[in-house]
Amino acid sequence: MRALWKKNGITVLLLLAGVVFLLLFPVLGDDLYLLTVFSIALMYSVYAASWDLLSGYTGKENFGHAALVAIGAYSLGIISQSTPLQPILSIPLAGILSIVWGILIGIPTLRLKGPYFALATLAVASIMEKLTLSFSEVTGGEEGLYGIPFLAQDFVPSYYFVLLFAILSIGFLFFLGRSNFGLTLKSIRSDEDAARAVGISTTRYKVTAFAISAGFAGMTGAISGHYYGFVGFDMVFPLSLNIIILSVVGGLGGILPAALGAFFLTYLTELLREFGEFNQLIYTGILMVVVLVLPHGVFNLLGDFLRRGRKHGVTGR
Amino acid sequence: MALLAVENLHKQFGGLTACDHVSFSVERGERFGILGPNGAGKTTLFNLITGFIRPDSGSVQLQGKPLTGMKPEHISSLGLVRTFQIVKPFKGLSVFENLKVPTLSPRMRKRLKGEREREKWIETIADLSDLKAILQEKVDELPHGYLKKLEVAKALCIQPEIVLLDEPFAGLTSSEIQPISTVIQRANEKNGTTIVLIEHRLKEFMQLVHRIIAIDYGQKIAEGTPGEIVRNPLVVESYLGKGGADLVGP
Repeated sequence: MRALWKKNGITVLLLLAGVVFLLLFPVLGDDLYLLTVFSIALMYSVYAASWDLLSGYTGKENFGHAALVAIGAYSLGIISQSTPLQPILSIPLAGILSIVWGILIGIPTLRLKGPYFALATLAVASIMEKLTLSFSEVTGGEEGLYGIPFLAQDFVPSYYFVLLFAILSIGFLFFLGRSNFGLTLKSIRSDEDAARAVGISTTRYKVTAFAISAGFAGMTGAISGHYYGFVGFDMVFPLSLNIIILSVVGGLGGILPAALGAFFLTYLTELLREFGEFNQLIYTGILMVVVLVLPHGVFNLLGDFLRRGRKHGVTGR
Repeated sequence: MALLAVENLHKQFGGLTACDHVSFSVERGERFGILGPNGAGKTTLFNLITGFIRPDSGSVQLQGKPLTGMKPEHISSLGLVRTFQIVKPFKGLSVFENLKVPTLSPRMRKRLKGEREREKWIETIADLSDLKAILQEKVDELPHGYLKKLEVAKALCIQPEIVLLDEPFAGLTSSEIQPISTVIQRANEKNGTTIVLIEHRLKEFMQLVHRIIAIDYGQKIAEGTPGEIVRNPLVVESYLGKGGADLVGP
C-alpha cells in the first residue's frame, strides 16, 4: 500500500477525487439522466475489469465474455419467472453459477495456444446466443424476460448499490492483479513454457483467473438484470465485442485502466448521441486513433505520465 | 545412487531419430557437459528429461524417482530445472519480479514462509548471480549478457538439486562469458547445485565441466573427462567430418 502511494500519489489522489465525486453526485444535483448513464458506465467498468484479469493479465483473449454475463443474467431472469429473486440471493447465486461455468469451460479451452482460445470462447458465446433464441419459451427469445425485482425502489439507491458494487469489485480485482497471483498471471502472458520451467502450474492459474473473471461477469450480469428489471438478448450478447473495445482503449493488464476506459467510453457514447447519425462515425474514429496512436491504452499512458511527472518533481531531475 | 539417471532414452520424430537410446548418469555436485555439433539432439535430450517432450521409450530418474510422463512444472518442482537456449525473460516485469515467479512455485512456497523470506531469498540469488544492482530494472531494456545471467538466476531461484543449462554462453562475446561462467561455478561450489551444461564455446566449456558425454545424430558416441573427449577420434570426426581425426594428429 505504501509503495503504491509513494510511486503513484497523484494517480491515487485523482482516483479518490473521482470516487468522492461519484459518491456526492446524487446529493449535489438531481440529474436522473446522468445518474442512469453513470450506473450503466459503472457496470461496464466491472465487465472490463473482470475481462482484464484473464485476458489482459494472461494474454488469453476471451472473445465470449458475454457468455459469462449471460449465465448470471439469465439464471436470474429464468428463476424470477416463477419466484422473484431478491438481489441478496441472486448476486451470489449468479456468481457461483458463472464460476462453475468458467471452470467447466476453462479446463478444456485454456490449454489451447495462440488464437484458438479466442476462437473457442467466441464459439461458446455464439452457441449460447443461438440457444437463447431456440429455447425462447424459457429465455424469452428476442423479447427477453420481464418481472425481475428492481435493485431498489428509486434511482438514487439503485445508483449507490451499483457504485458500491463497482468500487468493491474493481478494488478487489485491482489488488488481486498486484498480488503474487497477478504476477504469476503476467509471467504466463510473457512466456508460458518459461513459467512451467520454474514450477508454475500454468493451467491451474489460468483456470482460476477465468473462474474469478467469470464470477464478476456473472454477478454484474445479475445486477444489470435487477437494474433494468429485465434481461434481454440485445442487452447481453453484443457485450463480448464491446468489452474488448472498452478494455483495449483503456489499457490492458492493470485492471484500473480497463475499468476507467469502460467508464469514460460509455459516458462518451452518451455524449455523442447529440451528434445524431454522426455518432457512430465519431466513436469509431476515436477508437481507431486510440488504437493506432496509443496501443497501450489511454489510461496506462496517463498513469505512466503522472508517475514520471512526480518523479521529476521530487528529485528535481 | 546417481542424482540423475537417464536410461535408454529414445525419441523418433517421423523418420528422424532425435535421441537414440541414450544413457548416462550424473552424480551429485558434478558439473557435467553434453557436447555435440548443431542438430545432434542435445536440446531434444533436455526437452525429454524435463518433460517438455515425451520420450517413446526409456526412463529418467531423479534420486531414484522416475520422472517419465510427468509435466514440466512438476519436474521442476522436484528440483530439476532447465534454462532455454533462446532466453525467455518475463517481459514487462522487473528483474526482481522475474526472480519472484519461481519462488511462487509449490516447491518454494513450502520452503519460504511469507514475503520477507521470499525477498531475502531473491536477494541471495541476485547476489550470487551479480544481478543485485539491477533488481528494479525492467528486463525489456537489459543487454543480452544480463538476460543470459537472469535465465540462470531464475533457475537457481527454485533452489534446484540440478540445473540443465542450454547454451548459456550462446550469442555472447568472450568478455561477457566470464561473468556468467563465474555464476555457474559459484552456484555449483557454494550452493552445491549440480550442473548439466550444453555448450558450443569449447574453450570455456572444457574449463568448466568435470565430465562429458558427446552426442551425434542422437547417439551417445563418447563419455569421459574433457581431456579424454578432445582426443576421442569419434568426437573429432563428428565436428570435422570423416578423417578429421587424422588432420588433428595424435
